[in-house]
Amino acid sequence: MTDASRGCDGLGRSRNPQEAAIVERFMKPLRAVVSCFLLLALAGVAGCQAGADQSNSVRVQDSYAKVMPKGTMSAIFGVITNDTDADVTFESASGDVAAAIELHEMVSDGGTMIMRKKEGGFVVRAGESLTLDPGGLHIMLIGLKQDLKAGDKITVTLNLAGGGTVDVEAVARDMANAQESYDPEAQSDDEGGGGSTGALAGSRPVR
Amino acid sequence: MSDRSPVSRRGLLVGGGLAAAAAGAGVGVAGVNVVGARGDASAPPPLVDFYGPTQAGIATGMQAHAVFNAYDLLPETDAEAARRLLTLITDDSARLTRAEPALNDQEPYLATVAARLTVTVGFGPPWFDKLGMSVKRPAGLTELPSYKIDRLQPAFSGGDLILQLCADDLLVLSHAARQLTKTVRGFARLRWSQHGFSRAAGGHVPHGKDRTSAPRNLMGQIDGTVNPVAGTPDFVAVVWSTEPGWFAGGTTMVLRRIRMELDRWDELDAIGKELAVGRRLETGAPLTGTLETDAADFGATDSSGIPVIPNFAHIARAAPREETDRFLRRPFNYDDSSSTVPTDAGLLFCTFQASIQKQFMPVQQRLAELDNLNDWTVPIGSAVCALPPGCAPGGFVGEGLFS
Repeated sequence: MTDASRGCDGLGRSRNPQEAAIVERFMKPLRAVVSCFLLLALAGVAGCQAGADQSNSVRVQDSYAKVMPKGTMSAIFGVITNDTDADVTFESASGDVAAAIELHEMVSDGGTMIMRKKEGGFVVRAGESLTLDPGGLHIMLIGLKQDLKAGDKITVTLNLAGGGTVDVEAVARDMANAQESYDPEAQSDDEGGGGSTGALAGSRPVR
Repeated sequence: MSDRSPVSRRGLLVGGGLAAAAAGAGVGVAGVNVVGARGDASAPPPLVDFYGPTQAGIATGMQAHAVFNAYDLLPETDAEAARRLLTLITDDSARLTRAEPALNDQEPYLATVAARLTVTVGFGPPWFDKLGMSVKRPAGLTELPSYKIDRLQPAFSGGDLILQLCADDLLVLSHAARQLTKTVRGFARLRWSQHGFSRAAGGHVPHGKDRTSAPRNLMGQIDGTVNPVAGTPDFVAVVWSTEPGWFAGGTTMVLRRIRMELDRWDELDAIGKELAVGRRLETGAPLTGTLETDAADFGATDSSGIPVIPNFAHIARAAPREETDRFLRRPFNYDDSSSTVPTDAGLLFCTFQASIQKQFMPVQQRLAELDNLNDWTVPIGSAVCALPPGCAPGGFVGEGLFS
């Protein structure tokens, strides 16, 4: 499971040309503006797995994803709890539900909320929790490989800096919100022109 | 910590909780899902556990408010989708009833009070046919025949999926109903929604030391006196199905929207109203007794030899003829009046019984044939559904459909 060596863009290893095109379309602009540098986690948390023993663990609970059709984007939300005595950093995410999976944040850009890759990954302080929610931090799914229908369960893996992984099992929910749009500046580089803002908007959700 | 605390408050409040299933019926006498009690013994506990061998909202003491929502499945909703839908309804309901926001709750601060919220899930007859599950349709679930008194409107009748939500707080109830409708909307379209009310929490009138009076309806009558009492073997026998297979521990619901002609009811004086029903308005006692709980004596006559309780009185016609023609009544009032006259108000007459055909229909047939109260009441809506047994944490309501 551990795959911390994977590129920080979290790209899948075996993309077909169609998926590659989707990833390229969505990700090229982002790579231009986001550094790939990631903090390393402090020692002592390698091998954390969401498991039965939650007394000294890092786990993700109450995870859900937005219902969206195949080929579009979605996002996963939830609460990451760090019950260990050391801070942890998630530097990437991986999984086979989407062509690419990234750790994102929403920021204000001249009054408009845009999303972009979270520099430095997700840091969860010792003994604290970090909430991923619409309008904030989220795990971005780019190029869904299947329709994500309400009630579907999907799993992605969060990769800790320094090794170790935590699985996230999310249930797809019908959501009117989470209509994040991409960084418009980055989109101007997108030769696709019309450069839809619609990351999670724009397409009709499937149910 | 996040606002969405993963710590269940239930752990702090669990009192007696759910008893082990009784032998035979497979359903505990304590199919009462009320969890714990705190403070004043007369104050209802604020949390009602969603999980349990039977669904909550049936044996639960009546809350102040109710919403009944009926949905029609979308054509593309198949059995696989229905399974997903039920897992989502279960998850929303379990969280909301323990005063936690739903997973994707957009108004989480409306979900911080439980107010004895219950969510009860029912399947109308079309549910089974549309999903290719006709073999799973319980024997106890029967469509009602057309009664001559009926003036049914589609806007209050039928439905593939029916949710009963009850709570003591209307804000809590409204939020929960909307959350569930948003969860359902991708699978089914809202067909109708009916709102009902009873006494406010704590507004029930004491009746002796052990129980309170049944609630009053808008005709002023105490309604529900001869109900089976939750927690008794009698209740188990009347309400919970013992059908072999997946439906054991389930029940059926009949919801009749009965308009009251209150403006004409006003033309009667108290004595005329009491003769129509056969009970005293003040106490709910039968005309042959002094207490609400007194058994009616239908053979009693006055000095002229005329029955004290007329044979056309409501309770004379509704009284069981057989051991089996009894059911649990959980009626809520409605008042949708938007102008002075005519008053648009009445009763959401809600009953639970193991078998609609064996228990409900004989009584309804008698009342349709003759009941003095029919002069002031008109059924304008009717729906039936099967309420599956409850589920345990990790499971979902209706899981037996897929086994």
